[in-house]
Amino acid sequence: MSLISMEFLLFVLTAVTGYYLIPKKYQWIWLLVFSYIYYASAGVRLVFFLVYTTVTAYAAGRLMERVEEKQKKKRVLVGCLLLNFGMLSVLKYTDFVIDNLNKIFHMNLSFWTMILPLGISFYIFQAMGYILDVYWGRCKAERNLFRFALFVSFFPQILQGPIGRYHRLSEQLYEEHAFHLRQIQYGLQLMLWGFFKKLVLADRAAVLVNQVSANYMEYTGVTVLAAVLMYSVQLYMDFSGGMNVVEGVAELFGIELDRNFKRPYFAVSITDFWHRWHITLGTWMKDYVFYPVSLSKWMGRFGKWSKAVFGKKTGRLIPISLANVIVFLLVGVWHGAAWKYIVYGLYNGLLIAAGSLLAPVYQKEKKRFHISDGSKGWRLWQISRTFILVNISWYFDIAPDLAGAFQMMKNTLTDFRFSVLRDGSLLAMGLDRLDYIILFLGCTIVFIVSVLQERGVKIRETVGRKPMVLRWLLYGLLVFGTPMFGHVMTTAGGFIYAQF
Amino acid sequence: MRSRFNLLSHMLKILLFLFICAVLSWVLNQITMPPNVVWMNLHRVRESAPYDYIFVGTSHGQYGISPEVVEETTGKKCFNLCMADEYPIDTYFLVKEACKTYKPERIIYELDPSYWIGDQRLGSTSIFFYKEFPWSAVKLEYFADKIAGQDYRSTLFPWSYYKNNLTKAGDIVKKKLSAAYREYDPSILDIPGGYYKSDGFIYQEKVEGADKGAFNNMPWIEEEIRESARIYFSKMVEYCRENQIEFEVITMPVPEETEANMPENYEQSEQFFKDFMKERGVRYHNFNYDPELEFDRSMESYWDYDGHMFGEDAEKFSRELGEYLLR
Repeated sequence: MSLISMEFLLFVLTAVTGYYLIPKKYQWIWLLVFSYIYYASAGVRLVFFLVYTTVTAYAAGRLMERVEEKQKKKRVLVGCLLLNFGMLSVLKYTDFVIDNLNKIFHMNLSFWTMILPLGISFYIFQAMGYILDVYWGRCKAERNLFRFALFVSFFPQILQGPIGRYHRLSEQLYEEHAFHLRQIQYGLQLMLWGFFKKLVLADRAAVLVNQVSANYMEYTGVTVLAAVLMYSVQLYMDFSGGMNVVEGVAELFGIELDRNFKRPYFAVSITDFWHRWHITLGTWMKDYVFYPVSLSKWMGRFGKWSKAVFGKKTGRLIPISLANVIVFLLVGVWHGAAWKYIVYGLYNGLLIAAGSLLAPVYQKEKKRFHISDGSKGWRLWQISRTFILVNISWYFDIAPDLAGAFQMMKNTLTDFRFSVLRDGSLLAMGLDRLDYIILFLGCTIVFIVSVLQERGVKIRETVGRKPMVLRWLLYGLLVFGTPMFGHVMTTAGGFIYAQF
Repeated sequence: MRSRFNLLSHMLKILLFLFICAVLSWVLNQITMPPNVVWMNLHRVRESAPYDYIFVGTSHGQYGISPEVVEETTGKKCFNLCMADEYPIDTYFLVKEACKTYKPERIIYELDPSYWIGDQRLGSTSIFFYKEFPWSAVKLEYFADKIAGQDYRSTLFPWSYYKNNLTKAGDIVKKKLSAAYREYDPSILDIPGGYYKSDGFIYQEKVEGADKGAFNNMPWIEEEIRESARIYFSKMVEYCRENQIEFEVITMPVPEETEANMPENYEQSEQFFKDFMKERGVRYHNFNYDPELEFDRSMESYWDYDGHMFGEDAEKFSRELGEYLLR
C-alpha cells in the first residue's frame, strides 16, 4: 500500500476515525491491529518476519531483565542480535555473496532469490536498538508483548522509517490521545507538503535520472552531471517527502516521530550532512556502533598504539576516524547488497575521517588567510563544497553498478561538451521546457521554506496565524497545485527508500 | 460549551473548504475530459441491448472487427467493446458491466499477447475505463481492485491526467453542451482518420502512401506474464461459466512483416496460449496460424506495423471471422 495511493488514504481515514471514537484505553490496540493489517496487505507471508523479530526481541528483553549475571545477559543479547541481523543478512546479502563467489572462484552456484520483506531494514534496526538499550540499562524491558509489537510495527513508519527509539516512541504509542483539531490540521498539512515534494518534484526529476542511469554509456559529461544534480533533487524530495507524509500520518494519531531530515543541503561538512540527512539512521549508528566501537578494548589498545606512533594529537584522532569508517561502511551495506553501496559508505566514512584528521590543518590555514567562521562567504563555500562532495557520492547511487559509477564519473570529467545545453538534447529525454520550469519553481519554493526554517521560523504556526482567506488560499494551492503540476510516471514509481 | 461550539465551527469551516474543493474538482473534470469512445460504448452497449455476441479486447479488435459484417454472416446481433489500452482487468469489468443489462449468448475475447506481458501506462490510460463507468456495485469493485491502489489523483483529481486539455476547455464545454453530446451522436468523437460506427467498431479510412510508423511490437517473454492478467482472465472465464455465457478467445492477424520480424516469439506465444486455453477448456483461435485464412496480411491492409486494420479490410476480415464463429 503505497503512501500516495487512495487505499492508503482511505486506510488512514478509517484508522484515525476509529482511533478517536473508541475508548482511549484501547487506542494502542486499535493501532496495533491496523499496523498488522497494513503490513499484511503487502503479503500475509511477510508477517512471519515481523512476528519473528518482535517475538525474539521481546523474549530477549524479558530474559535479560531476569538474568542477573552480566555474561549471561550478554549471551542473550548476542543471540538476539545474531538471530535478527543473521536473518537480515541471509535475506538481503546471500545472492550478493553467491554472485561474488561465482565471479572470484569461477563457481556456478545458483542464486537463492529470496523475497526481501518490506521495511525489514527499518524494523530490525528499531527492535535491535531497543534490545541494546535494555542491555545497557537505558530502558526497561516491555512486559506486554502486544505493546512491544506495536512499537516494532507502527504502520506509518514501518516501510521507510524513521527508525524510532523506544524511550521516545513507546510512551506516545501507549498513552491516551484526545482529539485535537489542530493536530489533524498540522498532520494533513505535512502530508500535503510531502505529496507536493514527491509528485511534483521527485517524480519529475526521476525521468531524467532514470533515462541517464539506464543508458549512461550514451551520454556525455554535461548530461551525466545534469542527471546527478537532478538525482540530488529526486532523492531529497522523494525521501523527505515520504517522511513528511509518514510524520503527518503519525501526527493525526497525536504521535510525533523522530525527525529524519533537517535541511541537509545546507550542511557545511559531510559530518554535518549526516546530522541532517537520514538522521535516525545516523544516530542509530552513532549510538549502537560508533560509541561501542570507539570505547571497545581493542580500540583502546589501538588508540594507545596510534598515540605512540603518530603523537598525542593525531594519535587521538585516528581511532575515531577508524570508527567512522567502520560506521559508514555499515551504512553503505545497510543501503543494499552491491559493491556500489559499500563504496558509497566507504567514501563517506573516508571523507569524515579525513575531515577530522585534517581539522588542525584547516584551522591553521583559516588563521593564515584571516577567515572567520561566521562569515557568510566562508559558510557559502562550505555549503557548496559539501554539496559537491555529496553529489559525487550520488554517482554510486544512480549508476547500475560500481563500474557504471566510475564510467559516469569519467564521462563527466573527460567528455564535457557544453553544446548539450544548446542543442536541445536535454529536452529530448522525457522532460520538456515546462517540466524544467516547474522543477525550478518547485525547488525554489522548497528552498525558501528551508531558509525560513533554518532561521527558526515555524512555518505551520506562522501560517496558522494568518487570516482565514489567506490560509485557505494556501491550502487550496497545495491541494490543487500537486495534481495540477504533478508528474505522472509512465509506470508505478513508489518511494526509493521503501525498497530498503 | 464554548470549546464545543468552537470545534463545531471549525468542523463546519473544514466541511465548507472540502465542499469548495469538490466543486472545483468537478468543474475541472468537466472542462478537461472530452467525450470519448469508452463513454460512447458503455452507453450504446446498455441502450441497444440485447446482443447475442459481444467482442471484448484491444485496439486490434476495435479497428478490426465490424459487428455489422459479423452479424450479416452469423445472423447474430453483435457489439464491439474492444478498446485501446484495455487490459485484462479492464476487460473483466467491462464484461460485467455489459452483462448487467443483458447477458449475451457468447463473449469473444480478442487477445493481444503484449497486453499480458506489459504494464498499463499510468495516468489517463489507467483510469480511462473506470471514470466512464456508471455508479454501481461493479464500479465499486473495479475501484477496490484497481483504482484504489493507484495514486490518489486517480480518484480525487482525475482531471489532473487531462490537464493538457485546459487550453481546449472552451471546445470541450461547447461539445458537452451540444445536442450531439446529449444524444450520444458519434460525430462528437474526435477520431483521426476514421469514424465511430454505432456498434463500437472504428472504421479507419484508407490513405494511400500514409506513414505506417515503425515496428515496435513487444517480444513475447513468457516469464514476463503479469499475475493480474492471469487472475482477471480466469475471473472472466469463471464469470461467463456461472452465467452460462459461451466464452472464447481469438488473436487477430498481424501483418506478415511484423510476424517475420520475430517469428519465434509469435510461435512461442501461440503455443503458450494454446496450452493455457486448453487447460481451462476455452476455445482459442489464432488467425496468424490459420491456413484457411484468405485475408491479405500484407501491409496494404493495415495502417500501422502494430497490426491495426483499415476499415474496408477489417470488414473483409470480419466476414471470415463470422464464418469461423459459425464453425
